[in-house]
Amino acid sequence: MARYLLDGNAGMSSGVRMTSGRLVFAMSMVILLSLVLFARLYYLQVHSYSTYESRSADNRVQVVPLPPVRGLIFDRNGALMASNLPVHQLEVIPYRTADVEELVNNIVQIIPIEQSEIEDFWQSRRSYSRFSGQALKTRLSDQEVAMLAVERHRLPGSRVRAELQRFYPQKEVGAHILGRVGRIDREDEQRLDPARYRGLQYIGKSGVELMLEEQLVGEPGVSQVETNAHGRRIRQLSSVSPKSGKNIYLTLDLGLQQVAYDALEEFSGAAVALEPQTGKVLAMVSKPSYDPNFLSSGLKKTKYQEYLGSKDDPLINRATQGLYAPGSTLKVFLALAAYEIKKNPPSVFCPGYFTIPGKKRKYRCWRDEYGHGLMNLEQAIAQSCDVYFYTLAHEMGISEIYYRLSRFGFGSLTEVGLQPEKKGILPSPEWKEWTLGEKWYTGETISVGIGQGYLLVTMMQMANAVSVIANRGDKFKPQIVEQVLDVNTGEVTEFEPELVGHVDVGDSRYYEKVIQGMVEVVHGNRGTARRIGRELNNFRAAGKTGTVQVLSKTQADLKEENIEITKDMLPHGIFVSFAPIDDPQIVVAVIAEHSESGSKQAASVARDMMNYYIAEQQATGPQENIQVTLN
Amino acid sequence: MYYLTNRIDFPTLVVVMAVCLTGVAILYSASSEDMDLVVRQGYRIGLAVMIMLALAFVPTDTICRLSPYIYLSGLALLIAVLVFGTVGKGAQRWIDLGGFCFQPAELMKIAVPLAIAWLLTRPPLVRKEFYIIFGLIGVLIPVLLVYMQPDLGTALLIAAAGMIAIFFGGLARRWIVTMGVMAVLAVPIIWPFLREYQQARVIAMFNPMNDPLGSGYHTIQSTIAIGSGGMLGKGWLNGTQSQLDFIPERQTDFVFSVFAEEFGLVGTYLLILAYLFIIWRCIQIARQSESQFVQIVGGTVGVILFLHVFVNIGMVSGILPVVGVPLPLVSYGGTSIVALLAGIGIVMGAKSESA
Repeated sequence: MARYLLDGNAGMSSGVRMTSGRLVFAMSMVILLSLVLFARLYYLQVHSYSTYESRSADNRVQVVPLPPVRGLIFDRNGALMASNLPVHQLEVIPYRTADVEELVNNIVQIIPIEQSEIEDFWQSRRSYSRFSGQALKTRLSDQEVAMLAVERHRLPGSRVRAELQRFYPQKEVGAHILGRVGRIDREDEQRLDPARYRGLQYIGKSGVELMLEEQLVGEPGVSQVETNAHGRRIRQLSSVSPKSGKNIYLTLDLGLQQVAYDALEEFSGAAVALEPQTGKVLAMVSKPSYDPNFLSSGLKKTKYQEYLGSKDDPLINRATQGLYAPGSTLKVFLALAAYEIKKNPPSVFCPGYFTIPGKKRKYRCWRDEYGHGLMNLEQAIAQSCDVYFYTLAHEMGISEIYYRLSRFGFGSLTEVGLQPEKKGILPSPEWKEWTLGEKWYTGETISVGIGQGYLLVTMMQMANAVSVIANRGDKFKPQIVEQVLDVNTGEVTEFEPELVGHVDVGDSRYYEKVIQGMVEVVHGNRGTARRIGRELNNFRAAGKTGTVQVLSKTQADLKEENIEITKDMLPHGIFVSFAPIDDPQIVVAVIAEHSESGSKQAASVARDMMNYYIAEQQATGPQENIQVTLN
Repeated sequence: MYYLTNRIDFPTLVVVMAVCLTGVAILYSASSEDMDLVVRQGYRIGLAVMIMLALAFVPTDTICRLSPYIYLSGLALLIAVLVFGTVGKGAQRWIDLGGFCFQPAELMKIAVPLAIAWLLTRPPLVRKEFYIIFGLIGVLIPVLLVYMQPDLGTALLIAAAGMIAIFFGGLARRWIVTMGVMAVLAVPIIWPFLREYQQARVIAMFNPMNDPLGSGYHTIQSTIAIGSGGMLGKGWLNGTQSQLDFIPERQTDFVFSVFAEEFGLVGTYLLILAYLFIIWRCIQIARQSESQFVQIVGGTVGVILFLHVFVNIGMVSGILPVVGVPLPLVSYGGTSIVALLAGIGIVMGAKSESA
């Protein structure tokens, strides 16, 4: 103390003396700022006391938030895909009870609660604030609500609350594109405007629900209620009604979506259908799927973990996040490049294998017993001759391939709006150097020639790229939303197709040539998908099959080595297609995992989808009516 | 006995206990007489006081030697929290030690100043400027880790704790001035990057009537509560504003409004004076010490305590935007009390060594 008063710092080191000075400065600042607080409190509590005193006495008015109703989601024809159902739920507010465990035990004695629900409750405890209600059981029956009301005095810390719960009538069918809502968790709270979400419990977590959260959520209202001295509500003074969220009309065709879902049968995989002349998404299916109704209540933690733990990843949207080698479906894009570069690409002789000049290794054609013989480019597309495209890829070189393919959107996001979307890999020497730190080998270029190697795409990208061919060059940004309806004002916002570019290959006839090759795939005598060509109803389609090895060995090798072939070892089948040929209405890209070949299940799915959609268009569209009479 | 009295600063202990007990009493009122909540808070305070007293008996040299390790373990815990956070879902700030949870980020509010104090009192092997640059990096790492959790509020407080420690450690005046000017210039640049609701809060502070049912509502109700407390207050458990649900977050961020309504100007002044006494003791002990380590730690603990008090009372009385800083030793919650009392314990113990 003495030192403090007498400033006895003389013997100290300079550092200590300096800090000592700063401590005095800090204490002065502390006192100065305290004076601000003292002054403010004096102003509030003494100077303006009478004002605040009377305001406090009159303050019998409480503000109660009125949560808005979340917007509905429809398909393009007005079929309901997401709605809200009124439900009662039982909640526990931890801080209002001495013993949460005992309370739960008491509740179980009154109404039946499944063990899994109780487990969910305990597992998600941590993510809730102690002061907010945590759901123990949702969708109470009327009888259960009555029973809980009778026993209410025994259950302090619990309450029954009515709320609207999100409901998805189609369950698994639209799960990935619609996404789901879920409880607002602490992470959401960090970035949300609390005023906007007052009284709300749910928020979009994935798919369209996440993408259009801003539109769907609406605006909360407030109700001012007068209370008596005990805080009981006497009457409502005024209220500002909540504004319902906007209704969304998707570009999706629910019927087509259902057809695609059913056609994939038990296969894992994805199917995407686009309207090529607008980029509108007509269908987007991913399998295996999940029932979003289980997840939207925010309660089924065990169900969620079951989905998360499943090795099939049902929560992943395989259409936008599933990365696959495109296999032979890539050949149509390389064929376009060949026409563009060489004008008249020469024929190639296929002996069943290809070797890089001066190297020994043989790259086999899928038809390796006999080879395809002499092939021109159109034939090579129709019969999917690997040797032709090995040769082509080798001549073009990887950098050229990279540039040509990137114009079709490979290796970049389609920006369809569903998060998260993967952009896949369009390899180049720079990419390999950057990610793997290795240099590019010529052999890797050969693999890319048949859509394998490092190349990875999503079905969304594939459908988008095939649309460019169907459009003879016009590239649209894929869109999911047709229009948004503000139910409060009746105002409709239309989303116009967005033409983002034109892929110019030098001469539009090159597109026709490649398309002719794709028509041969479906309708030609030797086309790889000629099976489905016979099963199309009164229209012709262009397509391309792809078969993607999932093992480094071929099926023939496996047979030779007497390895038993299980289902997981079968190749993936991919099929891309569009129809009708001259006025394309629909583009389809399908992958059926482990379905052996692109000409099998994947082609069947595409066939069913095109048959359904073209028939629907002919039944409803005015232009197509004319065609019907001509047919 | 002499040893005991020497290691523990009884005036500080008494005032700390008084503030804590006031806090428990006001929590009882703010929670609508929830005894269970009060008991739980009581256990936490008990634990925090024991940690404070235990640390008071650890020689300062030992603390100084341990400082870098405390800091590094804190960093490891923060990284662990982030890693577990990605495995589990959502923001994860807690570490569970068999039913007892704590937030490593809170620990950093003390660990960072300790590490800075240790660093800046090393024998000068290189130029002092380098130490300060190391110090700035040492502050930045935990701040970024906490920001990634994400928890902006705590990240800013850790940054403040670190900067204050560097200030006491001898940051040159021209650097201080430069940084201050940069901070002021940054305001208009940062403004567009703030989230809409954060902007709304700042606007609401200047004109709460602008949106009386939205962002300004909390502030209005809170100032009415404080103002209507008057000179002597409405009495314990009698605050109408508080008891009738007008005040949000009554047990946590807005607990001061409940206190002010029920205990009036006399209560609020006494409470602030009590804080000032603790702060003054910390700075006093620092001043009397011949060890620069103690000076830096003592000064930083004092100033950080004040920063919490000033921001919290400022925001509930409507002169600062609502940012979610708890009232030290009073708001419901355990980790921040433990961290703060640990810091005070270290400073207390240093007193006997300065004579």
